[in-house]
Amino acid sequence: MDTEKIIKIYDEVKSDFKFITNSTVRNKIILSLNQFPQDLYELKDKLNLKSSPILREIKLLQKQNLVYKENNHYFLSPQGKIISLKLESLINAFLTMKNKKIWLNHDISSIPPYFMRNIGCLRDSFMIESTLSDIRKPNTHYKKMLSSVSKIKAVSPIYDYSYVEVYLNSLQKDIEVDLIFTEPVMQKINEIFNQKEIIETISNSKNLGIWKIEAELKIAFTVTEEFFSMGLFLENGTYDSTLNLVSKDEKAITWGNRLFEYYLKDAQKVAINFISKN
Amino acid sequence: MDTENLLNLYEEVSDDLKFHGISGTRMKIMISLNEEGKKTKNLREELGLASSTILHGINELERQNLVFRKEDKYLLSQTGQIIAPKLIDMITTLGVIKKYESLWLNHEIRDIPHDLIMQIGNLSNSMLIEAESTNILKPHREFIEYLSKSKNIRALSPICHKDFVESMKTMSGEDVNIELILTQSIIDKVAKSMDLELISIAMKMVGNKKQKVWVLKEDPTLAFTAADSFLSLSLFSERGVIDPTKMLISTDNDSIAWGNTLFEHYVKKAEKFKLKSILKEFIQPKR
Repeated sequence: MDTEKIIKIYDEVKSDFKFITNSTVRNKIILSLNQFPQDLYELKDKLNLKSSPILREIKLLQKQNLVYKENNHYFLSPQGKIISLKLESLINAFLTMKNKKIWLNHDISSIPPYFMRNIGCLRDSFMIESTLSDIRKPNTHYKKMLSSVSKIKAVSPIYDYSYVEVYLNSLQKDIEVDLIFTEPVMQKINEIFNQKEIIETISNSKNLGIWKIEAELKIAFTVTEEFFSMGLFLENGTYDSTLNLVSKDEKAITWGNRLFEYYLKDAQKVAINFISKN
Repeated sequence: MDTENLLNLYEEVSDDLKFHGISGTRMKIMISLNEEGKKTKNLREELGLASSTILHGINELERQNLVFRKEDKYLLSQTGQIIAPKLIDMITTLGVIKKYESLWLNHEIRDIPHDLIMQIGNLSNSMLIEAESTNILKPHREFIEYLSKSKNIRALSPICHKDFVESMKTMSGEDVNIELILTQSIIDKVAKSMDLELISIAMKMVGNKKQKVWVLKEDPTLAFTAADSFLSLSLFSERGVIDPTKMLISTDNDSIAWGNTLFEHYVKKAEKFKLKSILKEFIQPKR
């Protein structure tokens, strides 16, 4: 939709937009009723507020046709329901951005629109950052997290031998490892797969899958059944190895799995024996 | 995600939300910069606001790390690039809610899947066709009109309307791609009625390679069509019957794409229609 059209819509709904952004109490009522219809006592209890501020806001919500009352319980109207879902997604997006350095000055072009819209799935995440006394912290933390998982899926446009080591160790422990690499990383992999012990590990393993992706990726991420971990490039084009976003939340893991599938669609499977014979 | 948690966390960002709600100028700058980086001059012309107003808004957006300046242009920061589409989406959603309020009010939306509710802003460019006292069948007539012009039709119908049947009758023998999802209750009714006309339409459709029929076990509370040139959407009223007095019709590509996704959602749940399911009354006559 073009800017002019959006601004026209904005002018039409400006007061509605204000209405749903301006009052914390009102929004809490909307979010709370989205869970299930409630009476005044339940709302008081949940929002930890007295009757009067709640009733005042409910009156306004009723006037806007977002809430209706039946058998002493308050329900969201269809409009209220839609707004509540949107509001939740918007709040989660704000929370995802809040206090997280990774979004500033980093290249986010490799996160496709669908995933941007659902960025709120990463709400419950934390940053693992290099410190002066531990500059490799994101790397070591990542490897430590990998030690207890049973399935690894990773997409990477960067190469570091320490990662290869972890993946090989995982394969030896019968852990499934699916990897999507960019062309330059694939070349590196081809080089090291000449080493005898590596050839042995990978050719004995039925758990390894490698895919090659043509696109130039600006994101490195890993998703397992336990966590999602992501690193981005700085705007100047270098990978920021000092910062990782990590989440153990189910929503973030689902988001990561979907992103993996998204990239898998554009990737070609690489025959393992082809690599090792190289 | 439990609500309790969300309610608590919300406090952390309620000021950010207010920040965008309060100022129309800031919001318009965000909307405009979401398109591309712009100079003050461009913003002034596009938004019809004074430079000082714009610069004031930009200053505040810069302070929130949402906008930054590069040479003589203002651009959205990464945070801005993530937040702006979310806010725009909220705005278009509010537009859709407001513009078609009577379609939503007292109607069922529970059978529109979550993903599509989240994309309801895609319906922005639609028309709400409502029955008039002098033309009570207006929504239906317009629908049939659009339908007759279509060459590719995907539809879900939990009801069996005479005119719709008429259209299907004409189209069933024609060179029209039809993918039709019916409900089990309709199939049962047809089987029971032993209505030869309906049965012959069904036979024609099954025999036509360009036409496919599916059957849905459940009874969804909506009817829709996603054709090559239009989308139609009708909802059930809360009393549990379809509301024939209102229909959303759109010829916009975003809306049609929305309808196609909705169709794909339902086709996944449906089974292929088998002729014998309506012929069983003939095959096994009651003793």
